Amino acid sequence: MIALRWPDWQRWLRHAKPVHGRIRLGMRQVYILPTFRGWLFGALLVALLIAAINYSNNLIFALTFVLAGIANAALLQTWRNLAGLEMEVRDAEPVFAGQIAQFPVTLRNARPVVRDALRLKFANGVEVLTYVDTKTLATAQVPCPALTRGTLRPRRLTINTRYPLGLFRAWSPVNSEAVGLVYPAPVEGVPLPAPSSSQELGGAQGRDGDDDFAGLRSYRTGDPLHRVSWKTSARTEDLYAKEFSAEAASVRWLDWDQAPAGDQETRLGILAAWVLNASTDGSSWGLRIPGATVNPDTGIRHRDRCLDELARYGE
Amino acid sequence: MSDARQQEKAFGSGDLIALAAIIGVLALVQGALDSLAIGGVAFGAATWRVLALNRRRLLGLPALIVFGGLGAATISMEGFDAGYGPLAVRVLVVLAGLKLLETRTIRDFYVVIFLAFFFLATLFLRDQTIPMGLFAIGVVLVLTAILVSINSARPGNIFRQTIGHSIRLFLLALPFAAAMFAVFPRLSGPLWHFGIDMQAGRTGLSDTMEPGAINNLVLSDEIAFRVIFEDGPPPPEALYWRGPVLWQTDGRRWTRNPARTSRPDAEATGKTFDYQMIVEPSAKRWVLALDVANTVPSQLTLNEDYELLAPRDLNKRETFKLSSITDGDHRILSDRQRESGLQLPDNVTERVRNLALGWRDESGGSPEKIMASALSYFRDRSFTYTLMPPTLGSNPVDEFLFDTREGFCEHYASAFVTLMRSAGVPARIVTGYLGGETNPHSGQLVVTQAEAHAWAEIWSPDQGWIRVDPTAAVAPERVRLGLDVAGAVAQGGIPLFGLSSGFWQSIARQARWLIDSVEMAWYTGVVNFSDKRQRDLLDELGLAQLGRYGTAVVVAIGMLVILVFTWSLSLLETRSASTDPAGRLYQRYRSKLRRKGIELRVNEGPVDLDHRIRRRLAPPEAATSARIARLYVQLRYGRHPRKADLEELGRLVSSFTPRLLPDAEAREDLPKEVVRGKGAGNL
Repeated sequence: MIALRWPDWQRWLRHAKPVHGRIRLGMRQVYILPTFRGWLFGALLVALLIAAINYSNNLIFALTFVLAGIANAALLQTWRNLAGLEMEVRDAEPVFAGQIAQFPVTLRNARPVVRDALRLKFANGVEVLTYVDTKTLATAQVPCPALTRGTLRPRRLTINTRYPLGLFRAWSPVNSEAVGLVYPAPVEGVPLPAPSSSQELGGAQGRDGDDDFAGLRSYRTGDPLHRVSWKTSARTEDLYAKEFSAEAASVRWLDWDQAPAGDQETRLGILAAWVLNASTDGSSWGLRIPGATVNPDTGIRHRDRCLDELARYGE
Repeated sequence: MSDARQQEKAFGSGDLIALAAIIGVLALVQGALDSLAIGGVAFGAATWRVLALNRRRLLGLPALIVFGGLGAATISMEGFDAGYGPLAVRVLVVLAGLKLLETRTIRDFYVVIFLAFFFLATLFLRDQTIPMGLFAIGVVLVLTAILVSINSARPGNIFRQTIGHSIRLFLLALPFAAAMFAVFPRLSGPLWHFGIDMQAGRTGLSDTMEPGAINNLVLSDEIAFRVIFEDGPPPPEALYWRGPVLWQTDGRRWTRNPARTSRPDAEATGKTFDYQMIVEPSAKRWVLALDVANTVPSQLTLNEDYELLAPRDLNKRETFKLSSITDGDHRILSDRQRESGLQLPDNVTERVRNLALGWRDESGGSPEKIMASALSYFRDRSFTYTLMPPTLGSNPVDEFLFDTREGFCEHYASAFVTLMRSAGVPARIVTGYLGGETNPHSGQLVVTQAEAHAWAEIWSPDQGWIRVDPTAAVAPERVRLGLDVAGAVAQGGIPLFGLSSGFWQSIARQARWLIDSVEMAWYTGVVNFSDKRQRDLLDELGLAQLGRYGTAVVVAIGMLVILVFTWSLSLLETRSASTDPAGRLYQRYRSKLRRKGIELRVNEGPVDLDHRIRRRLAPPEAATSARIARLYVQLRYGRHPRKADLEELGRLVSSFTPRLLPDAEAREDLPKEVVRGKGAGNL
């Protein structure tokens, strides 16, 4: 296939406009050209035609024309494999810088015929091969490398297909507004800052009965199960966890200024590593960086919120 | 190429086995038609590939060397005499087999598949019969199915579905292919010569005759030629088909004279028959026209013995348009012919000579009377006409006339001519065919080797050359009814005449005629679709008046129409969703909403959509919308969809006209749907 580059034509070409995030590949948005194998096939047909003319052999004529007709029918089928497809590109789950973000793309096939061998690709990513059965949905995870921290906007998704015969390639460039958050890559090696409470060490590890029982609070995702107050929870429909006064007082502050000086990204990396380590401790921690403060808390959602702030720093 | 960088689905073992099977079968057919050794090498390579499957150690360089070496050996073994064409084809066959051993990626698959298509075409150069046509269709279908399968992303062996897909592609291709076939111009000659041999010829008349030659030929069932008379056939007694004329004899064997090709005197008197003759390949140059040929195509030559010859050996089926005059006058006898016509071998015995001279003295030298005496000799002396006469020794004529008195047409003819020459009458033997059977389906007269025959001609000063068939004197039914060879053989050689009347034989004959007429229709309609026939076809379609440019324009428009027709056919097949009436109704509901700017989201179900929009619809429509969503879900996913529900859904959708409330008026509460019987809430 002649490699086509779309450097600055992106703005010039009118691509499918998402409606409520959903894109429909209409007739005008699907392009089609022969592949390299398609051209080879054409050369084969020419050779057969010459043989037929030279030997006045009508069966060779018939074979040539039947093959040409098959290629013609395949042209339409390849084009139709894309036209009318409905797709939606959703935001990717957050990843760390240097990893690969996976954008879920949902494809909807309303035809009574299978849409087979669809290939999805972001500009820098690897191509993903998938298919959608008749009148169903299929979701493909399309990768896009997340090289730098921040908000990843891949913008251009190309969907193409060469089904059924591989002689033609139909493609459609799709604008998507999906984003993915990229956390800073954690930089290990710097120990966590000490908790600011003057209580005994290891106070973060609450032992039943050892600390003052401070009350019940509703269960948050990430709380260890031995903290759940089963009796109370059984009586109501919600889960409750026990809170201990010891942990209420012991708090770690992950502070921008406490991270060793260096370039910005490294500092953010150190902070990210701290957040990750703190979240496995069980203690509560807070994050303080220029422009954002996250009050102390525990749990996975709190961790993600901190990482969010680190990712968005400076935007 | 960006293809190489992109992810390719690996081919499955099913695809590989199918491809190897195709190459193997093509190799077998190639072996049958051309060289068994070379076909065998390719077949062996294909089999090896299947057996080795994915065990890399069995493939790779050693296998290539082995099969490559075998291929080279067999190619040189076959020799290079046949010309560049067959050589190129053989090399192609071996290469296809070798490439099959080397298939690792999808790209290799494509190479082998394209080679296979070309391979198939080379088979057509040798054989264009109906079975080959059907075989070709099968090969094309399977190769297309393999292409679909290696392009598919679905897991597992989906060969059955890809065959269905392949059949659909093939059917969609047919209108375009048929139109191109009818319209694409045919040249009358080749662009350049590659020298590929066609089918080798088979049995037939030779230019010598010995006792036993004809009755051996008669045992073969093969068709020699077919004839279509323009105005109906002549009577059976006139169905003599003239082949080699034999003059010289050594007492046992008869041979031809080299004859001058000067056109003999064209005697225009006599009954003329115009006909078309379709001649099977014979590897010889004889064209057996009806006795005697009068008007012939320019490429054939008629010589002074009235033999009709083609310029080259007939190696494939040919059609000739001829006209003959039966019972005409042919009075020319040159001195050289008189001398040949009286040539006698050294071993003519006393009693043979005396017999002939006795007739001459009785008749006073009249050839007609001498002929009559000879014929009554055959009739009266209990001669037998048999398919399996006893073997004759060194003097066949003498033994036949006086000892055995049993023979086939060649014995009678050679004995008769020897007697005539001994009596001083110039005479010669004519070999050819007598009779033929009409195929009731195609109306063609079919002449097989069973009709092979030998007769004589004598020269009289009054009448010129006269045809004399001594067989007619002994077995007149042979002329009228034809020979039932199978029946005769079953009876130990005593000939049976006429068509065999047994039950199974007539069924077999009906079947043969049917097959024969189908094969002829295929030949004239497809294989022999020449530029002349193309012109006739276009004339029939009424395009003759338009002239060359007009025709070209009409044809181009026609092709465009067919292209568009094919495209719309492919589009149509996706629109018929007749198996889902509820779905169609729901689509209509959706399109009504779409006109108001409301669209179903990709991950939204019908009930979600309804919940989302119900606030914004005016009350009556809101209730309808809720009911529509509920009914649709029940019909589509429920266990027992009821017809009444479908009808109600239809009514509701037809009457549904959404009116969107402006945002300010959007209702706060969710209106309750109109419910009958079942509880509300999400499924």
